[in-house]
Amino acid sequence: MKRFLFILMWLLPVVYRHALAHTPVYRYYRPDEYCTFRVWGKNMKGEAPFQLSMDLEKQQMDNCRSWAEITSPSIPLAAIREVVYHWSFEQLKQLDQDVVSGKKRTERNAFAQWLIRHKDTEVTAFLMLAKRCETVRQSQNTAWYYPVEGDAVEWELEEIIRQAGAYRGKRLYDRYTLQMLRAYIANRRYTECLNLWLERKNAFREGVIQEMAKGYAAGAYCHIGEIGTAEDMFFEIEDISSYLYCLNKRKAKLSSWGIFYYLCNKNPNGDKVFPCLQYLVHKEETRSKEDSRIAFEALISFLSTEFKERQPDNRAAWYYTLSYAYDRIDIPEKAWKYIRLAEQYNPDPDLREAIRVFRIYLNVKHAQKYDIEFENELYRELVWLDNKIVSCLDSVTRNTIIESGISNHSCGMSQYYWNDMMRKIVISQVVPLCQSSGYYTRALQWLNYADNRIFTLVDKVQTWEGEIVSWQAYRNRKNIYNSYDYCNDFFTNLDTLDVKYAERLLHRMENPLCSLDTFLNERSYTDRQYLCEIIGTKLIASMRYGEAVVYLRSVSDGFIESRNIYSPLERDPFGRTLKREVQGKRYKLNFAEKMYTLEQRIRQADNPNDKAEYMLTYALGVQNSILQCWVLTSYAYGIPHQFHNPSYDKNKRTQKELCLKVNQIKEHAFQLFTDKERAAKACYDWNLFKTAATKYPDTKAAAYIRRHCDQLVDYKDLNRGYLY
Amino acid sequence: MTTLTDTSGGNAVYYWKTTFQLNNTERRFLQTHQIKKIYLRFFDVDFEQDQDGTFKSIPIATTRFLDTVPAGIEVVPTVYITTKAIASDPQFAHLLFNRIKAMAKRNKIRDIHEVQLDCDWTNSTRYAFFDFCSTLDSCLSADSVKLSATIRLHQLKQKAPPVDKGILMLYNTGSIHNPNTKNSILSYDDVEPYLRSDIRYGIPLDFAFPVYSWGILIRRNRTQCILRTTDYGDTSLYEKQEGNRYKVLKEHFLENHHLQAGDIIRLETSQMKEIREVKELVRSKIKQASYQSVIYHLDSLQLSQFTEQEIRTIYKND
Repeated sequence: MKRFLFILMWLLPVVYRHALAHTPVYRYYRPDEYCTFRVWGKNMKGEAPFQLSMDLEKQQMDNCRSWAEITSPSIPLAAIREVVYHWSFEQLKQLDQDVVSGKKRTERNAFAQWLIRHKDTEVTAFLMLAKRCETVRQSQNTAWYYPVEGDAVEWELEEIIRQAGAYRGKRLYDRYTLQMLRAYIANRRYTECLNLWLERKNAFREGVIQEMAKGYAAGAYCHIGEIGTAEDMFFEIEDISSYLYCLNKRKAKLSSWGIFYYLCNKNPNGDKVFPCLQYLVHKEETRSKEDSRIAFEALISFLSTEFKERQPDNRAAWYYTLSYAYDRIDIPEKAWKYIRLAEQYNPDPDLREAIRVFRIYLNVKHAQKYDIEFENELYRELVWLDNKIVSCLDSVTRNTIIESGISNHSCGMSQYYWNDMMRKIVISQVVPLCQSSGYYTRALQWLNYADNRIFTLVDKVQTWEGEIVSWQAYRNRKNIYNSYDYCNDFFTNLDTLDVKYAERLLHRMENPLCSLDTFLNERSYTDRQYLCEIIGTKLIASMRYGEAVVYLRSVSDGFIESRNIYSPLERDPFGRTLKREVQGKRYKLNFAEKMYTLEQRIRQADNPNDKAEYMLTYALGVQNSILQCWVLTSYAYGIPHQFHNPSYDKNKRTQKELCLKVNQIKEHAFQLFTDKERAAKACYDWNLFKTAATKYPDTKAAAYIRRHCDQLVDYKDLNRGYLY
Repeated sequence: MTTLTDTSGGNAVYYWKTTFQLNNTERRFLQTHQIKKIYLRFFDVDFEQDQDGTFKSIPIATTRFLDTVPAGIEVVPTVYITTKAIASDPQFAHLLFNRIKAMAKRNKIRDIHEVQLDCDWTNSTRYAFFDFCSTLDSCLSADSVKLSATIRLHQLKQKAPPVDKGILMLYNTGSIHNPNTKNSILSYDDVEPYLRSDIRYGIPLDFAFPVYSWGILIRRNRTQCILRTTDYGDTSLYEKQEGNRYKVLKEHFLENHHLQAGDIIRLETSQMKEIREVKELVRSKIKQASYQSVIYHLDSLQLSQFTEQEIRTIYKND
């Protein structure tokens, strides 16, 4: 039975290894992999540029501008958009009736007001027809629709063509033509569509309506098999997805970068060029340097030729791109050269900021050492970046951070460009430089800032139950599992660096030495008890029990309860079974105090047998503190994610060292015994049955073992003589 | 309620594929056996995401017509509806009606007198399905079109749906997942428990009998999939075992399924003996004046397993 329990004692921690999630979790990508390249500020989320919803947005706004031109430029575009894109047919019909009757109605929409005031039935009649056309075409796209010649949809579209064709005015001539083209395409009457296009294409005013009409004509060309013509027309209007469809149709597939080069060759100043470039560079950024090297070398080669042969607009963006590409292939002097050139070519404000971010990154990346001069420069730049974090935080981002900020940070996911950049610079560049220069405490301060800055700013978090609470409340509540403070980079470093750095950090938090200390403290997690609890735990792991007691005594009951430690893990640290001993706050403290007392007794004991027994109890405490009672010395057992956190190897080493130490103490203790009965009893307690029965044969313990030899067979030391 | 039982002397058959195209054997079958009615699956309705990403009851697996229906044959548009669609979003009767009309028109299927619904409704979905039938029936009756429904054996104990006629499905009677099932297509032993006492069902019933075969792939006593292949004569790949079982000798792929050495294929065929016995059983237990037999389904490969005489026996009204 005892043997069984002993085996179980070894196995149970394995079972529990996943029980406590106070451990660094798997990251999707590291902070150095956050996408930085930004020549087209809007899309930092990696959305493919050819399916951008903002294309539609742009088209709609252009159309609204066009409506303003033919009505009144003083009408807000939002009002036009509301009527043109969001009003139902019934609303438009009511508007038309109001316009006809001239009835004064309390109409809030400025565009509608204007139409009523000017009795503009020409526009309202068109808007109704266009809405009908849109509704019918939408019904064609439902899953239940089954096209049949002469069905209601076809008939309705033909009616729209007839009515639109009957318009004799000039003002809306191109708009009516566009509706006809749409209806022809929807009825698959491509020949009529193209004939109409040929007949009226010169009647279009330059702009969005013309481009839309050209798109339908291109579609008709594609349907009748004139793919080349269709391709050219799609390219002219920068409808890249349709263009790619045509390419695909004639089996001429281009790679992603091939499309970019094609776009550049056609028109390096086109609207799609930078969105496409940013998307592709982001894709490369998520690959390893080796894998993306070819792409960046090709980009450099292409841009170098481009600059020689042509003079594209927006040179600042192209130089920034070159600088970025050179950095990715590790040619820093060229990266520096081009970032300086980019700064000289009057970048727009968005790009100027992107350039500044990249310059900070380059500065830190290529710094030789971390010293006061470097720190002052870095501090200045990071104050600017910190201000950007504050000023650019909109409500949408803020809500996202409240809802999923913790998981995004924990998993290394991007959530907000300015915060991402701060984290990238600090975690991937500043901290390693700090540590290589020997400034471990400063490195911890930077990590604390990087991991907690956005949360101190937003100061709200959504719990698993959906409740939104302050961060302080989140950390203090007893029913919420606070995993974040025990899985981020700051904690990982606190937990793996020598305890002296954590102690210094605590001191530095309470006694700031410079303005940077204050700056960092104000934006970090600075709860004294959090650090004291970690320091106490690390001191227990270092067998410095007396010092641990000092730190653990300053941790309150309430704080320990808010850590949500899994109470079944609190086992008796001096027991030989898995008996639970839930002590709450005092679990670590009691252990440290008892170990400290044992140390004193060992030193003071005169009787060698007493001393040996104290030493064995002490050894048992040390052993249990890294096995069944591992919560006394660490925050996770086994660490399933250790492959992603090599620093945790250090913890494993510490455990090995403690195991060796336990063996040394035991060996020494067993040698001290002069009383055979007490020695045999100690052997029995440590499962050394063979030793007890053979080395101390005339003792009560030996007699007991012989009587129960079936259960207490000790194979372990059978062939090796006595263990101690 | 008007009875729809065929009185013209012609026979009926199901056509249950995603493409309508008849080969010569199938055309000959239609002629030889005087088929006057085809229950033709038009589409299925399932609860799935539409183009906007919203979950709705929408048509899927619409049959593509690559052929016209031979003259003189009445088509009964048949729609399979999943219980999920009926339970989650049953408001599609008008949409289904319009779509059937559109499909019939485009594919030149004229003179539609009947529409059939196929749904494995149970207690929990019964009311939703019956409501659906009532709504559809009111659409159809305006065009003087009758509504029928397939009836499964387990549904015989329930109230009949509000339709004009039912077709009792006398196939798929056993569980393919039970390793002890001898023949899941049709077994007298599986049918008999449902027909121990006389049944007077609320609507007239016709009977549908199977003429298909399939293989059930079994691995470690668990059913993996259904195989349409019925020829396992290649001795380098399969070893005949007792009964209708074949052992897979070598790892290979069949119909996109990965077969491993040691797998068992249970070849199931529609047995004439079982069909005869079941036919006799239903005739004796389901009390009604007349009935018609329908064959499931028109497929030249499957029909080749049966002689013309056997097919006549199935159709014959005793």
